[in-house]
Amino acid sequence: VKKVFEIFLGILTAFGGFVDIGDLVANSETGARFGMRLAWVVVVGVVGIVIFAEMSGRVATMSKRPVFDVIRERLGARLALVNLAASFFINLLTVAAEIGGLALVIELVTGINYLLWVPLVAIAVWIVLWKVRFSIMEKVFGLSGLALLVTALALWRLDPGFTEALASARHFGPPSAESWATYAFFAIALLGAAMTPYEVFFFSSGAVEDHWTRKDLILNRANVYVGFPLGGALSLAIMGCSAALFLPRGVSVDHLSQVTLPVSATLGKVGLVFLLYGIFAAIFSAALETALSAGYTVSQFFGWQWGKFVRPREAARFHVVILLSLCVAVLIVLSTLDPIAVTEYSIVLSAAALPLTYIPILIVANDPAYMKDKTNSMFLNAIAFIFLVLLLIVSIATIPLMIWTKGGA
Amino acid sequence: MRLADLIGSVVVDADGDELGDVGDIWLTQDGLPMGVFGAALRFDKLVIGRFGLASRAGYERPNVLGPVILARLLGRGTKHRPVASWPDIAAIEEG
Repeated sequence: VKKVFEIFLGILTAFGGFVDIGDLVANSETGARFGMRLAWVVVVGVVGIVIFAEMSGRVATMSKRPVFDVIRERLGARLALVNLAASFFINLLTVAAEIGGLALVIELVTGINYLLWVPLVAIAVWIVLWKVRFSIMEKVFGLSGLALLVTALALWRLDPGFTEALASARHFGPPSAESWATYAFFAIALLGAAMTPYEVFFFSSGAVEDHWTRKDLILNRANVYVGFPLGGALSLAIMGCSAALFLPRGVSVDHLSQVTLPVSATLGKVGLVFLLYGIFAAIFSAALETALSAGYTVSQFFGWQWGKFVRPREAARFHVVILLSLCVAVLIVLSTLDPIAVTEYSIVLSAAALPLTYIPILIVANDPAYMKDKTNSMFLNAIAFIFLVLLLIVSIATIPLMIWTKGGA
Repeated sequence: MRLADLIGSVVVDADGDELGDVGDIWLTQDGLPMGVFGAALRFDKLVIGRFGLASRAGYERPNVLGPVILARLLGRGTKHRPVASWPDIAAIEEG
């Protein structure tokens, strides 16, 4: 019974923890501009993150070595350092985006400018990282993120707008007001939002933090095969709400307050309270995960003691990296760069950087020296290889498309 | 002697012809038990040829097979490289 409960809890945590500021922004924006015409990308992205996270969770569990340790060994120190620099920079942008997002949520509730909340939010994140046990932190915020389910309820209440939006999912290609280039650019943004690399750093390091053994591989599978797709469905609900409410009215989404409109319009104040709580919890959880990922990647590359499974004093350098990353993230947001724009850049660049981590994990997941009898099946390899090709194309196309479309404008 | 001293050294066959440089050394963990460390590591094989990205991918080992296309691509240059076991080595000379 305990095991069943554990699996159930894991699924709910993965479900509630799936959505972050990147998913909120990307899905709302695309819903308003493209209806559900890009819904298929979310499905592709979810399949991608399921494969990627399952492999990395399995590699971490079987080899007791997390992602960046493996990357360094497979690529060699020099190339892995380039990889670390790119991954760390993008992750830092994501930390900044999450901190900015949290501050924006508090601004929505209090009416006081978000810039004032930025340092306070960062301190709160740091205190939780310093004080709270990993398993508790993971579950409390992941489960609280389930409050986002109100968006699914709102979507159902938005009918008939939703029925029309759903019909648009059958069309491939941009609506008449948009070009193929912006369509492709937003497709990449959605893919990057669903497949952000930090999710993999966090998930695989989490497997080591939680002391997973071979027996816990079922937990790994349940989390990613059930929890992540449910999270993806929630992303689609957010896109659907935006498509049903904003697209017919020609409204574009460029502020977080608009993300809440479909819920407040259909479910009133109570719905809005639930939504704001859900958004706050989901982004807070992502802020914790990204800040931890900053520490994980650097410490694992340099071979330092890392993790929350030891006392902070035993993993001093790991905690210093986390603290410094939070400080830099605060500075980025305080520079008054629009947090929504920071989010957009972070998810698009995330998509471009995916092969850097995906390829080493795919190779190691096939190596019996690490995996013993738990190497990839032929079926998984076939899908994983198709994704490899897709991710390489995305990686090459991202920067030119970003320049061509002026960042999707 | 340290294992690292062997890396990069020139391998010469019985006729005195150069085969190439030592690129990698494979170890097997099946020696005598050594406390918490587990079994001791044992010298298995010398791999002759450059140790590049394709070698790091690990496809030169016979049991790393997937994904097939990646294995073919990265294994092509590395899979058939000459290896030398300990009994094959007649002498190790400095210089």
